[in-house]
Amino acid sequence: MKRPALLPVLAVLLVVAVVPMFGYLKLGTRVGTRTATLKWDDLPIRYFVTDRPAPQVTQQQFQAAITRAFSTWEAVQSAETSSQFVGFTQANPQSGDGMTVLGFTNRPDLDRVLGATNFIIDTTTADIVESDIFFNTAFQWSVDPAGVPGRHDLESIALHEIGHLHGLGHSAIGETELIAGGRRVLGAESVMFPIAFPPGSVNDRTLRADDIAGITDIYPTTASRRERGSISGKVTKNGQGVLGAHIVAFNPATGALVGGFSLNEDGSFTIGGLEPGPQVLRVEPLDDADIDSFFDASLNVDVNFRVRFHDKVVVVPVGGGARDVEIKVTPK
Amino acid sequence: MSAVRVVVVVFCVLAGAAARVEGQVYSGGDAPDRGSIEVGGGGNWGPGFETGRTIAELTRGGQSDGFDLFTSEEDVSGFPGLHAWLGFYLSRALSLEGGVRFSKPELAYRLSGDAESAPDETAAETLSSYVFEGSALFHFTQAAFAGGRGIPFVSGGGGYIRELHESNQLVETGNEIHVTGGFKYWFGSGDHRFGLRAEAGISSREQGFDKEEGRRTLPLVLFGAAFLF
Repeated sequence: MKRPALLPVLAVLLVVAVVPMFGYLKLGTRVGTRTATLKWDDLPIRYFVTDRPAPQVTQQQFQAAITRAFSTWEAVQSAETSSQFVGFTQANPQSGDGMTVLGFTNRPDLDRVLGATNFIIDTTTADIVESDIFFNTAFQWSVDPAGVPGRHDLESIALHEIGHLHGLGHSAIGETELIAGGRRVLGAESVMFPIAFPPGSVNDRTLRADDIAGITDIYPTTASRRERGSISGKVTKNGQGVLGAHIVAFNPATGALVGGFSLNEDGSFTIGGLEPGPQVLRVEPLDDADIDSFFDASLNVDVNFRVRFHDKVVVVPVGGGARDVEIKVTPK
Repeated sequence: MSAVRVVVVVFCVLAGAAARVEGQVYSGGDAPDRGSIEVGGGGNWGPGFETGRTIAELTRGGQSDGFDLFTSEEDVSGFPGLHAWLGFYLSRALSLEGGVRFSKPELAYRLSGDAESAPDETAAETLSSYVFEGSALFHFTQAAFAGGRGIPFVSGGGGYIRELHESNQLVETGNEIHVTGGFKYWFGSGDHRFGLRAEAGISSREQGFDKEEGRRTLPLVLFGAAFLF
């Protein structure tokens, strides 16, 4: 008998009383004494779409964009996920009705939130039982293949939110600059970066290496379990662990960038779902988005250290892990 | 009178040569006989090379060009190594060989141009590179020098590359073909002899740790000592 518990998770204001475990950030929760990754145990994910249009986006266009976004995740060859569109519903995308619903909702109070994902999970197993995604009609939307200036691309944002729906947290592979009223994205290499590209951009319709590594880590195929590997170690400063350091593994052979975080006080980190081969590591403080996009505000995330490269190449083995990597950083 | 002596001398030399060929002792050079086995070992050297330049690039929101996070320039050091071979003479001119070359090149990644001013760094690893090779050698016995002790030859063949990264947890494989030319210098003339060998040429490799698309062709120098029996 499963015991559902409500666990609201704002996608743009992610989380972590819910402890992130591993990698990019996977969403996790305490199950007894251990931390377990949130994931769907029963596939395909059966979802409904709210029968409500938004200006310039019909219900059918909305549903088609959602289906494309699910398909993009399902096309990742190293991961095993599936979904099924059940039908339109009058229900709102809100938790507790036993249905996974995606739809438009008008939330002018959330003036910085394009969309959000919430979950109901089984707290005994960390299985996701239900998840709902709303897209905020306080913003203007588009489903045009080329994008429309001034309107956010629905498929791009849906791809991000559906990443959360699968159990992925935010990635920090992006660079931003502060502007009046917020941050502007200079560049990002993950759909799961918490800050969206400007309206009109459709560049987030394509998954990147970081996204693929993340979904592979949660839903690996038999082959990817055998073929992909990981890097684990810790980040230290003056001999002490650094919590919340962002570590990026760069594969010079492919140009792939995959990120992870040190998630404990001892500075330990693991980046999974990596393709085998030599990797270069770069570590930086979390300074390109709000820290609470990644970690709970109560955690003592250390941002007082300099960006640096690890001075050794780390080789990811086939189906195994490169362990005991120590990256020493210095205070700013 | 002097004309007669010339004729006699030439006759004797030719007759002697014929006799030596039949007895498989001498043929105008001090080449090993058919059926001889040559075993040897020594060193090899290949030059360093740049394997490429890769930009860690982020996607921008509305532009086609990316945002450069940092740049990685990769190169491989010149790699001296060891070489061992075993050959079998099908004839005095032709032999077949199998061998292995071993070296430990250093693969270095020079990291620079960081968007957030991370100090430049060189991250490196040392690989263990093996080339298991087979070759055919043609010896120019008629071009022997130094009283028949030195014998030029050309060699061609191919090999299987097996390269281990520093942790020995990841193996990368590829193939190699090579063409070389050089000489052997034998001390003595019996069935059991000690000699020296040197050769140079080109080696064309594909895959292994090197991610170059297609083949990469590099000079190759081999040298060593051999024993014949």
